[in-house]
Amino acid sequence: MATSATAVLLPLDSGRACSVGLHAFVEYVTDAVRFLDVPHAPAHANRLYMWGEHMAPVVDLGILLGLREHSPVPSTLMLVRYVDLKRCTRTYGALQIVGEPQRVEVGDDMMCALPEEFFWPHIAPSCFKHQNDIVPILDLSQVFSDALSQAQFNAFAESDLATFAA
Amino acid sequence: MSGAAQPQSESRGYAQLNFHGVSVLVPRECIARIEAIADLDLNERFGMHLMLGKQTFRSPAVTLSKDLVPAEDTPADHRFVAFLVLDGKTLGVTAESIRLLPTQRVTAEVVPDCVRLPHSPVIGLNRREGEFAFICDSAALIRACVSESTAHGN
Repeated sequence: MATSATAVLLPLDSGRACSVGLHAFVEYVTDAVRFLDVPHAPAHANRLYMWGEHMAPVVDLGILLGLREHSPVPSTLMLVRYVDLKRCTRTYGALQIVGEPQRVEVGDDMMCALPEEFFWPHIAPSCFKHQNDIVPILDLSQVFSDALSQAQFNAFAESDLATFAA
Repeated sequence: MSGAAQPQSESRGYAQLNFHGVSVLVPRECIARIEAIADLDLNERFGMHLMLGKQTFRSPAVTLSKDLVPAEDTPADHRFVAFLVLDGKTLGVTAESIRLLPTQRVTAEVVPDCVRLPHSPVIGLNRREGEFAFICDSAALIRACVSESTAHGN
């Protein structure tokens, strides 16, 4: 018997999207103004959003997807709650999105393979098809860990090795 | 299991370097000396020879951008240089102002892993009077400056 769950669809840009479980949703922010740029940070995550007393790291998956080179100061953010596995704490993060999040019901029969970009397996354990779009389901503990930086480093190292071998 | 990552606090004296709207805290014991720009030789002031250990220069100095990487120019309002020390060698960092903070309990908030590259000199964030300062490891800061300058062939 197929089961279903509620997810929140997050538009990234150029028709791409990802999703998180409804339980992670905290707030859809349309007037984000307080940011702190962090030096020596990866391009896809180089600022913190000041949300009350909390500092939420902002991740822009559009950079990793090659949709843009530099991340503009975001105006719309999806604030989420996740578990920091390294420190065993529940904390907040923000995902840069380009439109309103959308609530969707996801069933087992919608499951499909992850998109081909190298980083998805590191941050998305599964994926579903929604109106012909492939939508990865994010593991937020991984998104806000150093998994993406590690994946990028490994991808570059592999590419360098391949060039060297050739 | 609730709440954000717990900040860590310790009693320590820091020097606060202010430049380009950024505040950087480095432990006071990592600073060999502080000089006013006027005391530096002009060639040293604007030469920005970044290699450590070159005997021809008493103390090379560098101006950092707000990304904490060596900048091309030294703004006119950078009037002070803090000389950081590593393995007996020093590297100056110019600043608009430098405050020597007394030994006090300083709270360092955790920098989330996703916004920190492996060799980042930023080891924590200090929130004071509504402003943020980056707590830096001075050795990592010097290494970042030297490797960046070497990469650009300086």
